[in-house]
Amino acid sequence: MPMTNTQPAGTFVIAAEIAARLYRATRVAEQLSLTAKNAHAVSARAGQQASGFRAITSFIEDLAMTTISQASFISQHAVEIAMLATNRERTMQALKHFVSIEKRAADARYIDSIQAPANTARQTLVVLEQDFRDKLLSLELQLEEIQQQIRAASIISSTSKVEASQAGKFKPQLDVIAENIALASEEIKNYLRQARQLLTLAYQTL
Amino acid sequence: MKVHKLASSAKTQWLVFGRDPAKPDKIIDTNQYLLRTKNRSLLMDPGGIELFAPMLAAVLREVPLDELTDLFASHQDPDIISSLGLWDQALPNAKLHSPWIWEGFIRHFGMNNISYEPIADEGGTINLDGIEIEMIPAHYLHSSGNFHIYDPHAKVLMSGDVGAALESADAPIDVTDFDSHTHKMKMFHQRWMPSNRAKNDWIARVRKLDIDIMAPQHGRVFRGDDIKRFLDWFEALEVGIAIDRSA
Repeated sequence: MPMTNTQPAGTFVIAAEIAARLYRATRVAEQLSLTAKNAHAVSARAGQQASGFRAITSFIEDLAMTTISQASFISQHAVEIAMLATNRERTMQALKHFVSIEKRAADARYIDSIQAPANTARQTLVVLEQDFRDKLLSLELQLEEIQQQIRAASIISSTSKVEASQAGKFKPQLDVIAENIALASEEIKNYLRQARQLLTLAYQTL
Repeated sequence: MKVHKLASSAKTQWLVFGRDPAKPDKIIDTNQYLLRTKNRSLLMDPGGIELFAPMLAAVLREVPLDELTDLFASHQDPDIISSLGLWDQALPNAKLHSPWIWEGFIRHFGMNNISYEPIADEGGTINLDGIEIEMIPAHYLHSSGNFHIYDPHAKVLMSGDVGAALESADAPIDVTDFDSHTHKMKMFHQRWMPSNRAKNDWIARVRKLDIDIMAPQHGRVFRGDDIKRFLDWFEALEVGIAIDRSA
């Protein structure tokens, strides 16, 4: 992950990073979907020799489509969290200014009038914090669900390798396809794992 | 942030804020103006995000926040109004008067509470406690949608970037020697003002106003005869020059 700087990243940056990981997972799932279509065509040409492989191509395609739709949905959710976090950051900045003005201009004639916006900012922060926690929890559950789903890809990947080995002269083509499935599912798993790690970081900023 | 009383009439009072000794070196020094009536105040070109805290602290020495009801942004530049997102949290019920063409742009600074009051190209008035304050068109000086504020009661023209000078942050408030001051204004006006036609249009409009004080957003304030001197000097100045090939 690129966040190796010594300064802790703001929550809005972390949420945007999560959205970016999920976007990348979506792109890989799109490639997986193309691979599935290709596998379908090859196994149709191979006929009886690849009957086992053909049976699993529709699973791969379904898996890819579900991953695309879920990851897009979660990515959008993460963008909403980033916007919420930006709002929170802005309110925190305003409150920081109000508190500092209370100190630096304590003798100002109308200093008491800073209380109203400062209190509003404090109340807004409480609401934003709660909303933020709720949305992070919901994101966590969604990520867990999609991770479970992508675990099935590993099983399909192993099965497709076995089926490819029994496809006679179509074996080399199906081997490549099986390898692509394995690589894509591994890549998606990696992005999801990174998203989970980032989510843990986001919780730590609260 | 220093504050000076600029002018007053039976109906209005003017304050100028600026010359902040704590200002970061690399940001341009700006003058912020506050016009007060009995119960309301208009803050003109409130400044950039870097100035928000010293500016708000200085304002609270003069007016309570609930009397700061109106903001004015002469145009869309960051030194004019990039602090908007913070004022938006300090003054949730305020109005922002600004050129209509910049609304979609200025909202990028963050504006969830303050209401945007678009100014038509022809200008208009702001009514504060029944007192009319005029918004004078100053398009292309330098921004393509630009206004100045004229208070006919105190006879003050807040002239935005017109009359601006680039000089040190500890410079006096008033112009004391007009001729030497022109050296500090020349490049600024030639480079930032793009149109001689717009310049002459503005000069013709302003010559009709009764002005005792001309107050730009950068540099020093002009009083009395120096205002006519400035208008004559500006009229003769060729603007819209970035690279002078005749030199």
